[in-house]
Amino acid sequence: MKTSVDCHSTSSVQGSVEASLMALVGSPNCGKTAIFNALTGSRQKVGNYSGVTVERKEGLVRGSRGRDIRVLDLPGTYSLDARTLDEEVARDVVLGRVALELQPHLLVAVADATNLERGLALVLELKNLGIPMVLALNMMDLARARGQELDLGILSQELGVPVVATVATARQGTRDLLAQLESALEGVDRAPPSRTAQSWEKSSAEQVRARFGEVDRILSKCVKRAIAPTPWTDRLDRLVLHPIWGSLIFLAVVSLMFQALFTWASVPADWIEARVGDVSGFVGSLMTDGPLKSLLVDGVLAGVGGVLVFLPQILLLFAFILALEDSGYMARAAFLMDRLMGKVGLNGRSFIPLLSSYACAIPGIMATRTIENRRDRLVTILVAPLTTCSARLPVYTLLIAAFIPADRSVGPLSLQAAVMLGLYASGLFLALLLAAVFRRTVLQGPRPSLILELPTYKWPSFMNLGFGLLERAKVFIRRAGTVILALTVLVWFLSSYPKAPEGSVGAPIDHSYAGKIGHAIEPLIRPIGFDWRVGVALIPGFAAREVMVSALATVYSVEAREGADEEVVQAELGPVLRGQWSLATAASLLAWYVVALQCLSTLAVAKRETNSWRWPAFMLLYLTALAYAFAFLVYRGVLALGWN
Amino acid sequence: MRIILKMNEVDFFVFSSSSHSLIPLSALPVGQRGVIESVALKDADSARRMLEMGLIEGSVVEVMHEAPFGGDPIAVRVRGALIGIRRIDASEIRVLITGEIPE
Repeated sequence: MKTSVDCHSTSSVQGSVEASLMALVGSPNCGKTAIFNALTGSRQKVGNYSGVTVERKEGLVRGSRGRDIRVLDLPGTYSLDARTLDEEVARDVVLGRVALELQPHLLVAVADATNLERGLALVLELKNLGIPMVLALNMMDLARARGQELDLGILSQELGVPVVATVATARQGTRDLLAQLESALEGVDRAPPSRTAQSWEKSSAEQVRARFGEVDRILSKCVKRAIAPTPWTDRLDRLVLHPIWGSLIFLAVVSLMFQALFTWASVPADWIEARVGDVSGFVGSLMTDGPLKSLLVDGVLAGVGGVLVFLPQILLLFAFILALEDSGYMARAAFLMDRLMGKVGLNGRSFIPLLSSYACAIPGIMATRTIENRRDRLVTILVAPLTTCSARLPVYTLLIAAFIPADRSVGPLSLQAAVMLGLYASGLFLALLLAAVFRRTVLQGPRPSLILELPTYKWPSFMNLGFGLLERAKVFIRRAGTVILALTVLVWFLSSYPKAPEGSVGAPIDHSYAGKIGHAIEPLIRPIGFDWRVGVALIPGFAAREVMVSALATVYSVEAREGADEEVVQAELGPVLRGQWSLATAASLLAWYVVALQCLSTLAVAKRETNSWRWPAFMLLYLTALAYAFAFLVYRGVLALGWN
Repeated sequence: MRIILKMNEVDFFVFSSSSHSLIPLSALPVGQRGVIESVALKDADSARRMLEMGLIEGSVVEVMHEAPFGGDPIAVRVRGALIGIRRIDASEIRVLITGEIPE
């Protein structure tokens, strides 16, 4: 059965025939996604709502009678009075206002049992819509551990809604919840859409107050014993938010992340590299020399293999980010950084998108949706590509391994790790600097307020982490198998044809299309220390940064194919580059990579998020100019210092 | 009773109180509780969001933490949740002091 994201444009038709639709609604941090994962298991698909980049997660849950029920995991929201794009989508889906989306037959309100008041206020707001609803009280284990005693019968009676206790991360209560959902769904499938939802209006401040009054009344009836404060969260926060210790912990977390990327990830990375080498050798030994072998070994395997090697690093980075989010530290980081971010005109909330951009600017730019103010959001989008995304890692790793000695160290860090940290730091520095510039020039305006919930600390859920990483791995491998494969083959073709004429001297790539293009742009890139071969690799690198590595591999291995030192080329690209480039060129290329916007997907997502080509065009222009200037300075600087 | 409180812009805010004192939330020291008396943020959107997060009249608030770099923003416990807000916004929320400053 395929009623899911890929064909969600037709789901309003199929849905009414095949499966009922329910939607999970709840505030951020209430464990909504954990319930979604517990209900649907691996039967889920992630995509986007049509026209916007809000993530759309739909799954299928098998009911007791073998009937499939569709479940939609809506973005977290504190109320229906939406202020961000995410919240708007959640509200509009609930109200049945999104084109091509079916209005849910049933709402599954999810509330954090340890933080009942806000959750119940949302439940009361939702209840007014007249859509059938079930309340899942999640994190019941934590609430019980903190001494909370709750009469769920009275709660359910007072709310007028069935209530189920769950511990989604341990899959407890899922069965009860499912049973409740099924009985609630009886007969509602074909009910006409809710009238009340259609005539929905923003609630007044008075209504918000009244809802909290009602929450107080209900809780006074059903709470037998109030929840105790969390000594752990308070104690941890006294350390984590401490002026000195907090800053040190913050630095330690970030340093640990980077050190880990370079030590832990190298084991699986080496393994993948060795396997790709095995496959290359095996394919090479089976085939006779010719265009097909060249395509497979030099094009496909060298290209895709060279990128796959970075899968462990990228997953490790995402694992860190997901775990920090899940544990509650990410919000603390935003809290700690608010003042500093404020100095450049951003707010603490910009910190999370910027940190996510370290994995990839695309989710980073998408994460700016939680920034309520338009100017803050635009500034964050504009500078997000300056933070060092994981696609730069392949290039950094390659050049650092080749040009920076491994046996030196700076303090506790190896020199290689220190250089890497320096590259990350310069990206961050430039991002903050430019944010300050933009906030004072093209995007002036008053500073909006910050209202940031600091959730209770908890252990990250392995299930959530697993599902999150699986999704990232899929995206990355799909990319390696499609975009990167296509570009790699293109580069291989451009650098292999036309063949050098008989009896010609010099490298064969000189005669190819790629060589011609490289030579054509050489005058342009010569001042920053790049020769025509770098130019050849930069062109596909403009489509996607990491392709640069495979493009270089292709350019150099193809060039040497008819040359003498074929074995050296095949052994590794790094040493080859070390022999061919000066340190100044490598440093200049690194500087170029810190800044340059070489990612079509980033431009596309920026276009979608800002709803115009104006900002992405501006982004491309300023980043290219800045990259050129930065690379030029670094190249001249290293030459002047006489390093080599 | 005479209490000295640190304030945002003004260095020291001295007042005496016989029974209850109304002060801005930004002036509430860490560890002290108050009851929200009014939420009068100039920006209507921010004011509503504050309300939605439970910062409404009658809610008990306690300042739990201050961020590094000048003690801004602050983290307040209100209705069972910890919320980070900036001092400038907190200065537009008036609270009635109830608790004592722990020594």
